[in-house]
Amino acid sequence: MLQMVLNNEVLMAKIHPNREFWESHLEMPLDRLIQDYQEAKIRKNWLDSLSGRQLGLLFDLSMKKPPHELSVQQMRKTLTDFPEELLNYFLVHHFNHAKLEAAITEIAKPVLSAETMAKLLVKDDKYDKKGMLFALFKTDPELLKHVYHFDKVQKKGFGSFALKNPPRQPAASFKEFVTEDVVRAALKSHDEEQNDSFETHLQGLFYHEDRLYLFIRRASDEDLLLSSNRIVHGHKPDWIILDFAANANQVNLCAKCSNQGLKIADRLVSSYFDKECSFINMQDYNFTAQVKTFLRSCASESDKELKLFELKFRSPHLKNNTHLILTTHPTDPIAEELEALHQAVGDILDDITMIDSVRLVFQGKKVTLFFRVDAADPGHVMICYSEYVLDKKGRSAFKTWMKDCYGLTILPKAKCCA
Amino acid sequence: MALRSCLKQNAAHEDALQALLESSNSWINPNQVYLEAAYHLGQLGFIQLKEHYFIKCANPLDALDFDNLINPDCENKILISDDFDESCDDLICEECGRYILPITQQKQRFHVVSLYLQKQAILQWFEAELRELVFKNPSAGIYHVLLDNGFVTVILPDFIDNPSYLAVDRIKAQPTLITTLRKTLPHLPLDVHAIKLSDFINGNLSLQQVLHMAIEHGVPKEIPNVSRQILPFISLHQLKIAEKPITYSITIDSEGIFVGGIHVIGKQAPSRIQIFRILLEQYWRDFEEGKPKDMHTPLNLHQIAERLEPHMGLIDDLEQQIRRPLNKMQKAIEETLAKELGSNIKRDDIIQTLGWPGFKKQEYGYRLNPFNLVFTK
Repeated sequence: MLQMVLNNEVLMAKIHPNREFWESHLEMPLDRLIQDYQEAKIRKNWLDSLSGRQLGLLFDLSMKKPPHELSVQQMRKTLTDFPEELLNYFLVHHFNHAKLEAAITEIAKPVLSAETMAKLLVKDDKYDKKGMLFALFKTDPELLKHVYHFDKVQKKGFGSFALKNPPRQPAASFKEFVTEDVVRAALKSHDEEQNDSFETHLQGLFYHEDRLYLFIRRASDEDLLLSSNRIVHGHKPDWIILDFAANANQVNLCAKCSNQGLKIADRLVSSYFDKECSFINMQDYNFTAQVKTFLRSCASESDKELKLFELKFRSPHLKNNTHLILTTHPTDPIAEELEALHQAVGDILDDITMIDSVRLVFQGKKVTLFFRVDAADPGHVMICYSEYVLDKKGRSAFKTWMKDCYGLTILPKAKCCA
Repeated sequence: MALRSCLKQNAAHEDALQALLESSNSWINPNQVYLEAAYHLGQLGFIQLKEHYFIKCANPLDALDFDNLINPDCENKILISDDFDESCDDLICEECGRYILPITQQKQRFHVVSLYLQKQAILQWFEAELRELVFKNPSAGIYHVLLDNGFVTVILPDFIDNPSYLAVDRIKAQPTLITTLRKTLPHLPLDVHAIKLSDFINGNLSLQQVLHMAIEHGVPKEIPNVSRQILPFISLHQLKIAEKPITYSITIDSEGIFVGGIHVIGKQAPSRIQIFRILLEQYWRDFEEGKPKDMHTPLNLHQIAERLEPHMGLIDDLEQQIRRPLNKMQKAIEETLAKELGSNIKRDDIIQTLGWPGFKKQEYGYRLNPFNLVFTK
């Protein structure tokens, strides 16, 4: 059997748009992937792993011939003979790993044609992820950057901050004001102020559904790694994501070190309002009685959207630092277990100050709620939730449900820890 | 030989029925006998059945997934749909946050059968079994049954809501039969006659038979040296929650205004009380005229000012003297009721703000919410 040998230099020349795009912007190990691609077995396994739908699209995009008259096997055979044409799609295939369908669809829907999207529909409102990425790459490789960034928005937890004493809105909107040049200038000033020899890079800036997103990368903790058996010392990249309200009065921030992110956000809005401005943590407390109503409703299964299955609590019958965790299978009612425990530890749901956290199922995901009673006023409780478990749509639905049904305001956990 | 195998199968089926009734929760990877027993109970309407699958984040049996683990001790059980498709579905562990490819990595799936006991259906079935007898049902799960030779009290302790029927002194009064979902009973201080409900369901015993056995057994006697006031059963009834009231009553007295029995406006705020009275007068007029609720009249700031002047003198600042107290009143009512009742009270639930000047000129202003308020003595 004749096996095609691929030359490294030829493959490098085929990389589109450029090396920096894959390595720096999409943070992919390009050299390793190209090395893999030179192995015929890996190429074959890759083509074998693609579904008929994906192969059809790939054939269409790379061979510039309609795939209608060919069987899946014939398409696979034809594609095997043109490995150089498929290198970039092999990279897209690897880029697909762990990217959320919600993130890809959000970018793909407004860009790809209705006909392409219809071909990629798998079930209900769900589309073939890899297929969408192939099509997006063909349309414009830059769109993969948007997917990469938007995927982070979907997966990470954000703290919510409000502008302290918001000034009057200037004539130009914040969206018009924030250009890449303005952000780069602000980042340069930030680096000068930090004076730590690190450069802060703007990786992405886009406006989506009335929110302005900024993706920034900066070196953070020291770390080391092995490269060809040599230790390379360096720093981990820390992503700072800023998600501004259209009027710049509020920002959601995701960063390992929120301090850096806040300084950049303050700097940007200060230059927008032409006045020293700063963001502060949003303080939203709920009444204890409302929290109790919520917990009883979830425990007794009268709420069909939320299913309480775990409580972490203390009891006046036990030592102050002793915690009990009551966990049921998520589909089993917790009410019976609470009733059974009643004689031993009393009514657990009656004293919110004794409950540290609860876990519940919302839209098939296990969400944790943390309760923090205001030390100054035990009648007030702050609730944080494990936001990263839900995607963007799920978070919005969860917050709305808690507000509409129980009048409760919940905050992302990232903020609780801040 | 065939008969022995059949008997063995029946015994296994009966054991499974008993186990499922006793522990009506989720069963992981139940065997065929348990599955059939669960379907049988489902057909009888005694349980509601739900099936789903999960995978374990870190499972030592998932060899292809070893290299991908973030936390080798992560025990999270992640729900997975029957039609999970890696080309469009995502699966992320909620605890360690890793992205999982359950098909590529050939992750083992666990089958979960969740059972929900249908208490009402069981009680209805039991009462149907009693239909040929004379009986009285004084409380949930309690039946006084009249037989030719006396009364028997039948107690279904898993379904009672009044535990006083389990008091030792009460049970000692007459022949009693305890019928329970449990296989083994807790340690009882009385030699009371007890049977499993599954024995009825399987047809091993007839109700008539056991009632007569209870009569023959006679009045339960105390076992010496055991001291208990009440039998240690825990009923399966569920937590009751405080529901949000649909309507609120209004009371005005010398202390101020009360909504639903909660003090919302104090006497130290006379202007707010006076404004509230004006809205209440209008509410009363509309009520007397029999206006439909959605046609109750809202009063705008000028109208409220006009009616306030006889009580409070000249109103020269509508914003400060009327709108501000009204808004404060709305906020105070919303917060106080939320704080005291724990309900999700909306700002407009008691004092409603309607429309906007210039939007629909005739229909803006404030009124007491006719949908949520009732007149009581």
